[in-house]
Amino acid sequence: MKKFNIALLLALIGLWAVSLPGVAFSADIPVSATVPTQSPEVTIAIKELTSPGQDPGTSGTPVLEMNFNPLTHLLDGGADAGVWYSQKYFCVFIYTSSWGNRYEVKSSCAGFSNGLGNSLPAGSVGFVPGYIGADRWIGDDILSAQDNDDDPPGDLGTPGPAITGGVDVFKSIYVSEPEATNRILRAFYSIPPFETGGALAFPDQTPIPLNQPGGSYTGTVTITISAL
Amino acid sequence: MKISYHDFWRQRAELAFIAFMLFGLLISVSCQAADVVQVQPAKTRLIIAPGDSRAGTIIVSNPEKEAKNVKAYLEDWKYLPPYDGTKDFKPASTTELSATNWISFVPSEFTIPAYGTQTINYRIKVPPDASGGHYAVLFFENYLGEQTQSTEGVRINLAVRVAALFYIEPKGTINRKVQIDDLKFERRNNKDYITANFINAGNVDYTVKSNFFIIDKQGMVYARGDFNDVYTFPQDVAVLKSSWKENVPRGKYDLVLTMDIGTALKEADLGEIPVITKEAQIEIGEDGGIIRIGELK
Repeated sequence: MKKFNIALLLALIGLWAVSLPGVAFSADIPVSATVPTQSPEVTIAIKELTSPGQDPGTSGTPVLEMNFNPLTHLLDGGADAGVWYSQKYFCVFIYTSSWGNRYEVKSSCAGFSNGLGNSLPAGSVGFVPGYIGADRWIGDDILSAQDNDDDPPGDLGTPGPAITGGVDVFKSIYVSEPEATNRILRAFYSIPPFETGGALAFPDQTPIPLNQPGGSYTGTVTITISAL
Repeated sequence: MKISYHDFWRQRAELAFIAFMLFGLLISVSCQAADVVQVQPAKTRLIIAPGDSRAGTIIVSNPEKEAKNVKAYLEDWKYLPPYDGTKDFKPASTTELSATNWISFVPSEFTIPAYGTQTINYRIKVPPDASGGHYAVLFFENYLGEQTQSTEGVRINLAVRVAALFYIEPKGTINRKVQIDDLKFERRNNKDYITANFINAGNVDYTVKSNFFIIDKQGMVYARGDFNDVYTFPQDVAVLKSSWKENVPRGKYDLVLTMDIGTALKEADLGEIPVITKEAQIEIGEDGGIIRIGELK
């Protein structure tokens, strides 16, 4: 009975102490959290552009595909370009989210065929990666630009043909820096004529010749994002 | 300049209209933007005994309000020079260290409802005679918009794919070995540069973080720096590069290289590997050039 009374007394003291304001007890509570290793991801938006040098950040028509129709061989002044080309071109905006992973973004394209055994020349579709610091985030953060520097912290790819000779050969769009900051990237796709004086519009350009068999040519550009 | 009451409100109305149009433009862009699927985890590194198998899952999420049709498929991958982590993706089972034949998964085509997830169940069966690291990537691909055929001219469909990388180490067969050679110093524009070849002489991939310091006999540090991170497969040779501004005066020093080749294992919570330390005696001349480099030990 005496033991019971002592136990009861201790329990009451314990309850009283707990209920006292200002009397604190501390205990280590094991807490753990695992941050998921989620893959880097992208959000994609395409703008159709029609004027040379047009800024897709402030103009252009949002679309979900790149339809270059109609092709023409006549330049604005009426002269013959000597090749088929499109006055439309497209900017693919790539909004990256790294989730803490260094990442790379690539473009690949196996080519364009009309289903009748004819293909476009490998250098007919141009690819130009780009980056503008003033490009703005979309969604909740709609009004904030990424920064004021047009030189991104990672490595931007180089212009060339979009057709890479096979789905597993790639053109680099961007490789992130070690800090893996999120970026808004641009990738332009075009079917241009030669520049004035016959200069190439992009390295290794081979425009569509006028004797290209007619028909509808379709291909797929694949954007790949991967952790380093 | 005075502005009339009428002009003031007309300007306000014009500004409001421009702001409304700009907002509308931005909204229209955001409406046309499409998120691709999210994949978790981005990397899967497993140690499995030859002859054994292991099952696991990958979660694919759709962050959008529209359902997504997703196609999953395996390919090979390897690191590209200059071994900064960029990868070359190859058709399945076409590279020497391919693990694509070891991996099976379901489902390979599926539709994820709006804001939904899809669990991919995979099984990796390591052949009894497997040796050394093997690699694969599971891509999750979906198209932006509908895939359509052009009626005339040229049309491009846009596909976007996200990679889930596999690194598989057959247990008991891994040999981790590195070599460092072609150590060079150079002084250009009053700045000192150090380079060395990092050779992956083992049979598994390394993600390498490394640094160096130059000390004299009294332990005084004259230069230190981090090398670029390198990512290598077996037999790859990457160049470690670093630089520092304060010129090291003429004299004899010890060069200490420290390399952590266990970064990837640590990230995967698969244990740690002791950091590799190599030392060499060096003698620096008046012009910052190396007069003598001893053997790296």
